[in-house]
Amino acid sequence: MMLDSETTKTYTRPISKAWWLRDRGHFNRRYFMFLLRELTSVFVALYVVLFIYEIFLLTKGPDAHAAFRESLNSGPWIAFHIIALLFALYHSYTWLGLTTKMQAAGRGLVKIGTKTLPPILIALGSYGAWIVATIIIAYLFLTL
Amino acid sequence: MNYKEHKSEPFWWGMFSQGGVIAALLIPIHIFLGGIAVHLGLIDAELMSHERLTGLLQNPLVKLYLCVLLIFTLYHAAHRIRFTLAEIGLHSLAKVLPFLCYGGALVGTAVVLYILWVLF
Repeated sequence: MMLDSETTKTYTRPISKAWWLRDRGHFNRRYFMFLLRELTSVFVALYVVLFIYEIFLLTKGPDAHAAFRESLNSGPWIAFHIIALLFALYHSYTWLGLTTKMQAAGRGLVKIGTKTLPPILIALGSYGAWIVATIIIAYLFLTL
Repeated sequence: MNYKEHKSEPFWWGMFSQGGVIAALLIPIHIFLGGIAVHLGLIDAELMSHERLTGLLQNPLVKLYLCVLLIFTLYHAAHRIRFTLAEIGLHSLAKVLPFLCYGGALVGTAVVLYILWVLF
């Protein structure tokens, strides 16, 4: 870590490069889960780029697209999608769970009159929206 | 960390959270349908055929949906990757990462718009 002695003299506690695995000699589960949560973005990005590539191949004709689909139908690619799905699910779980935390913090986000709604209702709302969106997309994809 | 906030910072944070909601609600089902279910034979392979998908893309609402899905999630990922890379030790790149990550999302936006509204 580089400190510019002219602009700051603040003490910075030395942090190991692998702080998310070992911090001061200990495994810290919270740090590890935090990094996993941040890593979900890598899988979201990879999947979205793959998705865009497939749409591009659609413009190249049936053969190019069929060859692409054929290559996705292989162990490594199916494994990639399963791992990406697990990370995506973890993103959904943590992201939608934030609404509950915001509701629990301070005076809450959603109120009726002066009453703050219990966080569990907010959780039901946001996870419920996820389930509804999932069903709608699946239904449209299978029937359109 | 030792960097000044750029005035565009609120925009990137806004796109990050917008994309975060969209990714949370929609990405898992897409991965499951197109990447897993079809290959495990849970759904008909014809659903992912060229003829079927190009047919879907004739519908402007489908195109609009894909624009929202793909573009916002790119900004979400770009923002988080920017901070993740700094967190795991690339502090020295803290000044370059925003350009690389947001630049990637901007290029991705242009590519998505070009493919969906020009090539199709």
